[in-house]
Amino acid sequence: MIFRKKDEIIVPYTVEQCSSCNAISKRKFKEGDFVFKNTNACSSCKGQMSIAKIFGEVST
Amino acid sequence: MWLVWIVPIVLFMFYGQKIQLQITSSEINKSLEKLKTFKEDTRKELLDYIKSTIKPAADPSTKIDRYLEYFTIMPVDLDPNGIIQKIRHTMRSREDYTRLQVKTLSSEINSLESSKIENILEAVTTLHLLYKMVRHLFLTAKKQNNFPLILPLQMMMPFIMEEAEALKDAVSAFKQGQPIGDGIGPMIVGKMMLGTEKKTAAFETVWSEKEFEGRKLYLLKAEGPAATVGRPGDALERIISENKPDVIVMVDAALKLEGEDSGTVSQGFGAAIGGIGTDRYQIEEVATRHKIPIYAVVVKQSIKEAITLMKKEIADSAEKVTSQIHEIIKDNTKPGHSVLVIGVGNTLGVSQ
Repeated sequence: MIFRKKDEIIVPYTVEQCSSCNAISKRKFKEGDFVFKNTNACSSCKGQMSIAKIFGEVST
Repeated sequence: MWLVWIVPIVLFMFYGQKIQLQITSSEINKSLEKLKTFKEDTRKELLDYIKSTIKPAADPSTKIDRYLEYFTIMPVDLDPNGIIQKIRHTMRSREDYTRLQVKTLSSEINSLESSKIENILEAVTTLHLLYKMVRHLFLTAKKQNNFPLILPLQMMMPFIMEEAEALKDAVSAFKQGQPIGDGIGPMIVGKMMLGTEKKTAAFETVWSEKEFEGRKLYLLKAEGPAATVGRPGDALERIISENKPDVIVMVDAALKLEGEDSGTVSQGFGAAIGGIGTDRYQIEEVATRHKIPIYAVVVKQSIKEAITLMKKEIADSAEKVTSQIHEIIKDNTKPGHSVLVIGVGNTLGVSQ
């Protein structure tokens, strides 16, 4: 029992990056997201945001 | 008083193995029950997914259940001459048949959904096979009351359960179209391909050209965001027949050793590509024929991480791998040379 592992909950996240100002925003993954997909306009410079990464992180 | 000690000694002398068999059997039985749950849950998940996404006209359960029982007979290896072509032919026949079967579920199914269902089906089939194999060995040992026969099974159970849990968790990533750990190679090369014209190199495989410090780069990966590994062997053969590169760089995920950190980047030589071996053979054969050196960059991860949602540590290694690829190119080529960079792995959730 001392070697019993705790069950981890992995939460998927999507990281978007602006192609002009390199601003990064992280949000929860939504179905239909895929890496390098163009998303909304950047909130600071109105440049094109695209998905740079999708990954799972252990919820704390 | 001394009799208190004699009784258990005598008991264990005559019945020790039987007692141990009972204890081991109950442990294996628990794992077997868990395997059965995994197998049934993933089958149900697959059927629910098919019904909710592609809405087939008929109930798909009979077709899926029949598929779970399919087997593949590997070619005879008494005379290994030409066996690779035979294996490739057998495996491609199976893949083509699976693809066709999935397409017949609904006339409105697109290639992305089709590839996801094919991958989930593969995971469910493997779980089904694992359950049947473990059950066979367990029941044989019990039937014959054969303790030595159950020992190898007891030793293998933790590894089997690790794989089974990974397969069970993989279904969720496949359903949602999330990138898996194995997709790190296509993710790195896909980023290098952004803004270039993509051309078809082979079935479900794309390539493009790019300039890098006076060198010409030929970038190759499976066509995303579908759940496919493409056909890198065929694609490489086609590219080399038209433009011979001076160096080949392959990027892939590799199994880490226990104690190694996930996302560690390693560099080496030779064709970095997994699978049954037919693509690796094809790549090695073509590279040897044209005397092209192959360099490999791998990102370490566990079996579970390779087939489930990509972990942050693995995704974060992308920048490091890209700079290592650039270093390999600069160290081993001169301006005017050309390099073929291949991103190997399942490109689910990763476009280009």
